[in-house]
Amino acid sequence: MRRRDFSAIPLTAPKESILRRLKFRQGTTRLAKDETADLDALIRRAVALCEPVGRTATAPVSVEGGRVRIEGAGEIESQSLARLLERSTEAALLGATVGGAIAEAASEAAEKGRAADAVVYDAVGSEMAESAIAYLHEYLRGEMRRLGLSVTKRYSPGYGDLSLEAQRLLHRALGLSELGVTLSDTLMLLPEKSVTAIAGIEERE
Amino acid sequence: MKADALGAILEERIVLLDGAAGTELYARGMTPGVCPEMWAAENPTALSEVHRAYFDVGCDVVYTFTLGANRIKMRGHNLEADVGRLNERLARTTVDIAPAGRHVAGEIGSTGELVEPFGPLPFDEAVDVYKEQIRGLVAGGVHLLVIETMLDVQETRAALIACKETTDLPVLVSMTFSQGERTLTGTPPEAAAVILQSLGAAVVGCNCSTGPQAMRRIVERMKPVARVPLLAKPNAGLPRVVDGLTVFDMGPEEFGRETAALVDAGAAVVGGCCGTTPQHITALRERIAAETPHIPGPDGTLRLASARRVVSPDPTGPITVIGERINPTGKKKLQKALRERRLEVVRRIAADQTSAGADLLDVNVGMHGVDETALMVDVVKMLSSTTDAPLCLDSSSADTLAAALRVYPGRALVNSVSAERKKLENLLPIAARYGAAILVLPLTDDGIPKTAAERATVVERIFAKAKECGYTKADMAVDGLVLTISSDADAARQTLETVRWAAREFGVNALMGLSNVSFGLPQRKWLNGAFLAMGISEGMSMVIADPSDEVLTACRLAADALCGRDRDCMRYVHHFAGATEENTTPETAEATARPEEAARRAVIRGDREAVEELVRAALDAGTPPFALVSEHLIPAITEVGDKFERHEYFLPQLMLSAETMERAFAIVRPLLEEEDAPRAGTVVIATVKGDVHDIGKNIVALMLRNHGFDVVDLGKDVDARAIVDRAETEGADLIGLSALMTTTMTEMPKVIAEAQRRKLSARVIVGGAVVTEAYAKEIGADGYARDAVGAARLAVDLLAKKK
Repeated sequence: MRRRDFSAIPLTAPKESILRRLKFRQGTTRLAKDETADLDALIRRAVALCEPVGRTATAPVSVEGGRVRIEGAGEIESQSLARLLERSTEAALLGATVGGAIAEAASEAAEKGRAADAVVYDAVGSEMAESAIAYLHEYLRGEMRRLGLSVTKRYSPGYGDLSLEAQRLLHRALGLSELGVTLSDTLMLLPEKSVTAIAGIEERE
Repeated sequence: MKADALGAILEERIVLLDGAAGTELYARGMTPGVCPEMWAAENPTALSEVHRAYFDVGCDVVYTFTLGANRIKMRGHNLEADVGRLNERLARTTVDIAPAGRHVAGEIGSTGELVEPFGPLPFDEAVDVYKEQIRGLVAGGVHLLVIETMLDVQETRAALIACKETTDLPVLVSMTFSQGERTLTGTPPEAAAVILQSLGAAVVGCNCSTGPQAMRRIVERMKPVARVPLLAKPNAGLPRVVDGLTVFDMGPEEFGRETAALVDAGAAVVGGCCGTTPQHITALRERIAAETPHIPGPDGTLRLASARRVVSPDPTGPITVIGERINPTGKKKLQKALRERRLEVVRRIAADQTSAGADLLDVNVGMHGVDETALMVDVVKMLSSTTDAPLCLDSSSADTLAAALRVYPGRALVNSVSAERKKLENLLPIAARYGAAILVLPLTDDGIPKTAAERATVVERIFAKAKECGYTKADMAVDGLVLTISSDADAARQTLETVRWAAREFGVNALMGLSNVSFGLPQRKWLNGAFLAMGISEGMSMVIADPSDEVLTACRLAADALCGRDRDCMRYVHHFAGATEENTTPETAEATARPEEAARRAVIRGDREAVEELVRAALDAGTPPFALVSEHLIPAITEVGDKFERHEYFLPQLMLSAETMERAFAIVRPLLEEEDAPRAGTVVIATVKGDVHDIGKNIVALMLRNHGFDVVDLGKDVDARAIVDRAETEGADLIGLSALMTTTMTEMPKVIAEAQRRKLSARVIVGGAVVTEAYAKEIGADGYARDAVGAARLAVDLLAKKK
């Protein structure tokens, strides 16, 4: 597998998605100017706790029935993933984390009775992790586009019939332990704000 | 080829570069999967044919076939030991067939690795990798160098620095931009141009990735900031892979026509990239034969850049703010954080400053007991990936500045260069080597000149020295040098006069670091604010200040507006919009409301600070505790829940109200027990075994407490038996279970089965991201809630039915 490391993913805080995750509705939710300023400051504080890093790996892929075989990584059974990758010659595995500090800050805030801070930290951590994996995906797309290839949408364990069991393969193939990401017995990535995904690389139509 | 050889061609016409070589070699027998460079070296006749064809159609410059011939790329073919010889051999093949007056450019490309701070490859290792290749190319006799198809500005800097540290040959630098007009790592064309031309590129531009039409915008964005000629080398359209072969759809005529349009956009050096042939280049040559190249020159504008943004201080526009807060002097918390390398603190200060209006960030980490150079490098690397604002590197140590400038993927401002002998001798050449702009301090080994006239003389002396290093006035800013007025009444006047001279007569950007002026005086903010406004009226275009200082911000915006530097006063109006509409209604209403009503409003408003006093006042006024809770506080939190469901409130507001309610309840709860008031019930709540997500469960617990429930929160990752044990011990009315994953929600039926086995009367309610109402029914739960507000409502309903 060919791996590429991203030691510091340059991200801008995805404020709109953070607000969406916090159930903010433009035009309906009302915030006073000082509340907006406080929220912005809290989001900045939360973003400062995120250290987004990631890794991609690519390898030849073959699909047979509902079975996806990624060379050097193993096999995954999933009809929906197989459909996504049916035209792909290679699979791209993506993994990103924003580190543990943000989740710790959320827990600490909750323990100290600052629930409002906790939910903001939690939302920022989740959206920064999403942005990090989106960055890896876009990077790969740009790289492949130059070669006349395209990259499918990304698919994560838990989507459709892609079982969380696929986390084992992704975690191992990407070597996520080297990025400080472990996998629990219940297939949870730790630190909590970590994401994995699979995409296909195919000829552009 | 001397540095001015390209210039000699450009005085007459557009420089014509070659087209693609790879596809031409495939047509001559090269096969996919081989190492292209090694194949070309082993088939020199084929390579010579391709390159001769380009010379034959009139190319001024042909690139060697060495794009991937660096140690890291060659490692993939187990050929890393041959890098020097391979580059020399390939260069020689092309040089040997170059007609007189034509030139061969040694081609350098990406290693495929990301360089620090964006990737794991150490910067100096990248420089070494490139140096090895460059030595081979130079030994092969190339006339110039070209760094092309680069995806990341930091790797490009490493390659350019390697060129400069190895040879005096001119270097053309060309990056590849994606659909969003940025490189893959996010650098826009104008930032790439500023960074690379400052670092010494003879030509900058773009190649590959797109066809000529899409490349036009890239050239147009580079043109206004370019001080060197621009290069454009597009593909013959977008590549497609058909049956394993890469194909391009654009024919020679269309390519020639569209690429010639790039000359109109500002390109002076053009050619073709992937998919182009000698026929494409011939068509291009015919189209540009009569064109006059656009040769940019110095335009007098200072430009600073991060990897993602260019900042140009403008003496006629709003003043540029350099945030001063990343400086440990007098800041104990920051000192401690820096000593402990807790860089998230710096990251937060940076974000706070840019959010408050800083355009640039001053970075000073000098303090006793730290390795300033190592710390500065770490901070600069961290900020490079977390802030868009260009950096102003602030140190008196030449070593520290050299190390920081080397790794900074942008064009920094060096703070500062004075006329002190050591600074002029050591610091100025370092700043020049890395293309940094300089902040000139009119200070000599004899101290600070007293008068503005003397300071002007010192500035001119520094500028004369700077010119020897290649600097122009557009590469510098002058500090007016602020001294304290409490010890010298004339100090401010001399500083302002220096600013006026620098801005209006000498013609450079002028700035001040404000705060010294008020040292030792009370209420310094007013002096600082007035001084800032006076500086702006004298033509000052930059200021080093704390952007979060409200007085300074107000004075800055007012002075910009008054001096005609804020068009239509838009920034002023925007900043103060709504300031006169501050919401005073609640406080006014509060003053007249009865305390229990005020407490109710405090809960709705989420006023944590006020609620305790209001609850005590309500109790003191004789409101019975149970009535206060049931008639005022619970209706308040219910109303908050309704607002949340109508999206008038979002989650943090719901939580603020819930926290406020919690504080109110903390006061009332003991009184309810004394009063023997009816109890809402007891809930045992937990995130199930194997699941560590607990934020949702915590929110539900808080909302349940808000509704008067006694909540026993067992935390996360809790075994089914432990949950049921505790529910049994507590005589719980409800068990609340949370799970966020499909792998852990299967614990929920285990809890239900265990509770049923023990014949507990507790009802079980479930929730969490992956849990649905259908699943809840399937496993026999008594209820499901989508969110915390729903959970509280469900709990109340279930227990009402139970009773």
